[in-house]
Amino acid sequence: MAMAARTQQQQQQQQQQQQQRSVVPRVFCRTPRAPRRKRALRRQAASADMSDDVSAMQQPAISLTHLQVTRGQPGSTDAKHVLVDVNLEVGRGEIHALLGPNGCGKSTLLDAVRGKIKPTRGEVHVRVPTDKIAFVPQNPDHNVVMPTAGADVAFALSARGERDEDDGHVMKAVDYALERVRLEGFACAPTGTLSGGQRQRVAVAGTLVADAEVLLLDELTSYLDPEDAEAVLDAVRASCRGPRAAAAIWVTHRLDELLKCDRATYIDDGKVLLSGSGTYVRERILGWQEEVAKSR
Amino acid sequence: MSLASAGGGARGGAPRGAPRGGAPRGGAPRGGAPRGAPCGGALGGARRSSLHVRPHRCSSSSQPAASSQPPPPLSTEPTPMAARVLDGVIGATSTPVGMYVEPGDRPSFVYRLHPITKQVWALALVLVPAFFPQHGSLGEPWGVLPFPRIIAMGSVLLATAVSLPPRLYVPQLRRLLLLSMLAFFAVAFVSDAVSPNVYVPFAPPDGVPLASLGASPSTIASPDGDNAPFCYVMLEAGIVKVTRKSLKLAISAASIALTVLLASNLCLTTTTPEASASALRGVLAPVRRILPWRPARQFVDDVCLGLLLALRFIALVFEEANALALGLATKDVPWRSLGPMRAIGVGAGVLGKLVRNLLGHAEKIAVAMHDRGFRGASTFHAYTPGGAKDLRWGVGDAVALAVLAGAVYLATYARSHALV
Ligand SMILES: Nc1ncnc2c1ncn2[C@@H]1O[C@H](COP(=O)(O)OP(=O)(O)O)[C@@H](O)[C@H]1O
Ligand SMILES: [Mg+2]
Repeated sequence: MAMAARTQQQQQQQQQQQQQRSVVPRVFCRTPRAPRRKRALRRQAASADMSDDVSAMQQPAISLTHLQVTRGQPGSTDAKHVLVDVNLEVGRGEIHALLGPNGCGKSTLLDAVRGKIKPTRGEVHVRVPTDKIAFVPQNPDHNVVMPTAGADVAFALSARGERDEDDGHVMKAVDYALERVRLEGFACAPTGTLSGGQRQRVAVAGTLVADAEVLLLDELTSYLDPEDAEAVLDAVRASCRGPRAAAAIWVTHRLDELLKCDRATYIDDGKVLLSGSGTYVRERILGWQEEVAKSR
Repeated sequence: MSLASAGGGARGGAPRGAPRGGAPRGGAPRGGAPRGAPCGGALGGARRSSLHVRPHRCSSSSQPAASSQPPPPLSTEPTPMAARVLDGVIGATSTPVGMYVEPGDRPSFVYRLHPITKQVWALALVLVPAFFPQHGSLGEPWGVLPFPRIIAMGSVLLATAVSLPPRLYVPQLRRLLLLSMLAFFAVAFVSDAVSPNVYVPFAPPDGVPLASLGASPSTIASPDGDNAPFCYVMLEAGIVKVTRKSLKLAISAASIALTVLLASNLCLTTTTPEASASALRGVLAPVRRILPWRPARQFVDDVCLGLLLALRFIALVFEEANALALGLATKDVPWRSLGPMRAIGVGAGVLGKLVRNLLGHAEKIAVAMHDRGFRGASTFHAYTPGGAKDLRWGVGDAVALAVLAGAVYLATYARSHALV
């Protein structure tokens, strides 16, 4: 991944250089200067271009507006509004925690973001290409595809037909990703012998390798012990803070993890009850729990 | 085998997932018995029962619930057959056969061979003994032993013993021996009991004894003449009849079964599935290139990917069977009062569920593959975690293949001379 990150950085630098070149064309040195009005227009156009670019980056990677999702046959008795009027924005480089009791619609929300289910009302905007969306499901058994851990981590690269020719870049990427999730030395371990938590970490490593720009991580920590959970969360944060500036939705039940998340949303029964910074949401939920304890 | 230990061994698989570089933490033992996290199947339901009052505790409180099943009631009465079968299934599926085992500090020569060399050898160990001359020796004291087959079986056993630690291959061997014993008894009791209706459609050439054509004679002349008569029929009780010929056939069948199982097990335990698939792809690449028809080329790609996924599926079958058997064992089914027919009915129901679950798994894996960017077998290029060294031809391969060629030559030579 280090390699991939570096090449991407280089690409970005090149793009920036190209942009700068287009802003200050070299022809200026040789040809007589254009009339002042034209120059001003040109400058204006260039700056407009730049601001467009910047605003594209500043636009949230994921935005859900008035999202409503209905499960079951519409009109029938078992039809049920799983999500009701949900508004949510996740910017690039941001890690957004999603909390709520079982069955409140967290996984459904991720499905809507992935485009697996169509909203009955409202809009879903995801401003990255579909193949840059990575998803790790709640049940790690459903994510493991290859017989050996290293090959499973490399799956996204394998699917693109990438292979280690001379440089061994796939191997480096796999080893780096496994190290991030504290599974160093597990490249040759058969996936059939891994525990649930190890499988989940293999799945996370797979998304780290895939240079995803949107990470959707569903209740990973229910299979992980606190130390591994922290390592995985750190790896996801690094992915968000890194040059790729990925946007992540992190579904969790552990309040302590909110301290490491930029923003958080608490959903209950398909509705957003609470939204704000990670620390704020954590304080509020702790307050509720205290109230509940007192009233008992 | 106790239930608790079976449950732990099933998921943890501690000895196998041992880290390559001896990682100090994040290692296999931690992922082992106590965290036996439920994965779908019969025990999966326990996970959902947690409440959301104290989120921290959700995960930690629900997991032991799955693994702390009550121990089976101890009784002095003999265990019914069904319960014993169930125990056997739990035991058998908790030590999965055919999964890659990482080599220790000093990997044996089998690990260093090219996957194709291993596969060719495995095939040859079954096929080549058939080319050695087999007939005309039943009368001799050692005539009942099919030596080429036994040598083949012995060499696989030796290779297995050299390459795998005993704690791994001994339990596997026990189960495989059981299977081959099944083959032995089936063939020994049945193969010569009913005299076959063999009609020789042509007159045998002069000098060829009828015995060598497959009909079972009632007596065979001893090679030493009359002074050492021996018994052709070794055991006869009711419809069961064991003769020297059926004994020889049975030993052959058992050793073939054991050779096939051991050789494929050794191939799978010493090669990562990805290396096997890549090697196959490499061998088929020239074929693929000259194929003029696009579907045919796609077929080659599909075969290689199919092999890979099949090897992933083996582990799933074991896992799912283990989960179902454990689930059934914890249900405390009153086998004794059920009677054999209904017990078989329960077993059939569980088998049906196994197939359904496995198909469900297959579908989920297909969805996951698509989600993770899979766009067809032709663009897919599996990554071999062991690195390029897994697919390098070496001196060992040359030696192994030369030895094999020698054995084949010997077989054809012996055959032609025996026939002359
Ligand atoms: N395929 C489905 N068909 C009908 N209802 C579903 C389906 N999947 C989930 N639901 C319902 O949607 C609700 C939310 O489920 P889910 O998003 O999985 O909750 P969670 O927050 O625990 O992830 C639940 O009440 C569940 O019963
Ligand atoms: Mg969920």
